[in-house]
Amino acid sequence: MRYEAGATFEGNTLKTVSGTMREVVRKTLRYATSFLLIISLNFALPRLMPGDPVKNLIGEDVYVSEAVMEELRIEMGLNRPLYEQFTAYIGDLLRFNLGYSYHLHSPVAEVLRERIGWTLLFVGVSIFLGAALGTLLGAYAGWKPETKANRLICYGFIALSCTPPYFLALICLDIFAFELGLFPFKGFYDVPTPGSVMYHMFLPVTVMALFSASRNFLIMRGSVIQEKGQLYALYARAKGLYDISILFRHVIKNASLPIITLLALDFGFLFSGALFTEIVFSLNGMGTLIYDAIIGKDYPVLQGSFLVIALAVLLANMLADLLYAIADPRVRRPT
Amino acid sequence: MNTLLEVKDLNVSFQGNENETVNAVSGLSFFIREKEILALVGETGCGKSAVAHAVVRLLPSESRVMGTIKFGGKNLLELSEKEMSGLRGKEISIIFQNPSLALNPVYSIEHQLAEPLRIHGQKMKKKVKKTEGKKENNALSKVVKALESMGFSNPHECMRYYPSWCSGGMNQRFLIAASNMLDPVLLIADEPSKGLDRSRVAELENELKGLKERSGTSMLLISHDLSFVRRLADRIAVMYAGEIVELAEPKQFFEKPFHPYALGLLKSLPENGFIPIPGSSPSLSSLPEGCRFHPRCSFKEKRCMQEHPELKESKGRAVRCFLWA
Repeated sequence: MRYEAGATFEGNTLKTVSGTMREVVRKTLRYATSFLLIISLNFALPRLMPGDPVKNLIGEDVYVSEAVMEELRIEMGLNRPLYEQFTAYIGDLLRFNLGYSYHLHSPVAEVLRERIGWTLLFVGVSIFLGAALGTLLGAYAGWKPETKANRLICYGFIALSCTPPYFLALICLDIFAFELGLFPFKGFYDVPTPGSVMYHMFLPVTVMALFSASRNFLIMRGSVIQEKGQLYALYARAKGLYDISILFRHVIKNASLPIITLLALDFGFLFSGALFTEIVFSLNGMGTLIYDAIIGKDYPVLQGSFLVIALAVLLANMLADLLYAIADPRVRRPT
Repeated sequence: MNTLLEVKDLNVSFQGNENETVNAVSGLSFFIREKEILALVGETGCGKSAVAHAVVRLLPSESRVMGTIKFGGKNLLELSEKEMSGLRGKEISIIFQNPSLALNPVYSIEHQLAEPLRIHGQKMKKKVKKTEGKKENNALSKVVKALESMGFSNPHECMRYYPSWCSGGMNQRFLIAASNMLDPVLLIADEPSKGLDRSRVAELENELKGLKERSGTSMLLISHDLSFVRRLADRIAVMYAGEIVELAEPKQFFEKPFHPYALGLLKSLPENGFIPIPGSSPSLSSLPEGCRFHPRCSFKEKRCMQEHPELKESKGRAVRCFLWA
């Protein structure tokens, strides 16, 4: 007797299509809500802080006379009702106008544009290297956890993951820059040629990549240990695969699913972690910008940075969501 | 007919908790002829699956396997893991009990069905590089054929599915198709009818029969479903507590079982009165002295409690009982 294998789905084709659509709409709505919440918070914070909003928006350390304060209040529209201020704020955002830094005498958007490239390069390369190193070593360590070398690597990565990155950065700076003189101990203020960038980036990227690798390593190792005991791994052996090819052909794809989630989390985590590392290595990125803004109470810059970082993390999460649906058919529905 | 697989004195033991040894299989001997279906029946935990896994050497590394398993003149227990992997999936295939877990959740059905072709076709690929494109087509058409032979009328659509999208019955068929991609000489089917409803079991039966007729595949069929086995098997071996207690052809077996355990099994079938065997099977780490079935046997004599009976053979039938003379 023949039967339709797809019968279970075919009757539901319309339903599943609308189901997928609903899923997409639901996710988009969720991210849109988060986005709205972020910009609302950004709008509300300087107005909720104690003190004069004008002072909060231009920064406390900027000295201006009363008359100029009033002028600014009118210029910024702070004398208008809140809803008008909010629509004006949204309008400004749409024009990429994030306010003016009276400290740096430059529009915030321009300052951020200058700095964010370096941080993205720094964080991006670190995450990429960390993920590659961590997952590969972790997969192998999970496949053969009993060997001495793998145990040693495991202890090493546990120690690394317990060390705060800025501390690791300080140690590296001390050993490789001060003692051995192999690398510079200050950021690049000269013309950024590829050679100079690599020379200056080597130590900070190594520190952040190692830190990121330690997290990936531990997750991947545990994941592989769990997955290699599954029945499909035994069936792969029954099909004629043996030893490491079972890891690469069957186990690794299943085991690396949690890594996708971790990468999105890492993106946010490294952004904040990079802050301290950037300060230690005096890199000209977002970290030092935020640090200087905090010291100088430069609120417009802080506000802009907050917005940009929150958006970056949101985007990373969206990407992870998408990647997960592509990589794991279990969260996807037949279309 | 020639003997294909000959298992002699197979012992499988595991290290259990608190250093006790679990003797899953003890002194098991049987053979399978070419194009023959041998069924291994018995209660859960009597060592059937351990035998299946021992033959393909898929038992966990902490288990101890002794004896000889001769397949095509070679003792499988003496082969290296690499040599063994050359046989697995090509000449000896196995179907696991839990099809939905045996298939990899992140690969499509097409990928998993074509995999045995890729694994065992690698050496050929190096020689004939020009025909690679053609080869892919060959693989595709083989997958389509395999799915059609498993009763799927829409193979091209099925290939795009993932195991999690399908029912257990569908996955069972995919698994059988994957295991038979390279027309193995010996197929080990571990509880293939488990979890299938009656109509699906009947289909499975036809498919296994068809497989035997089409490709001349011999089978070691492991099941506790006696009525399923009755229609398929050429010979039936009954296992109890790690050893074979009776071996007979289905006709002889169902008409006149000899071993008290086999008798009990038949009586426990719904059509024979649904009478269960009293007691439960012994723990494999502390087996009773004498006959392993004696604590549950209503025909036992004094001798049964002291001596362990041997498997006695006559006229193609074998029974492990003192009462059978």
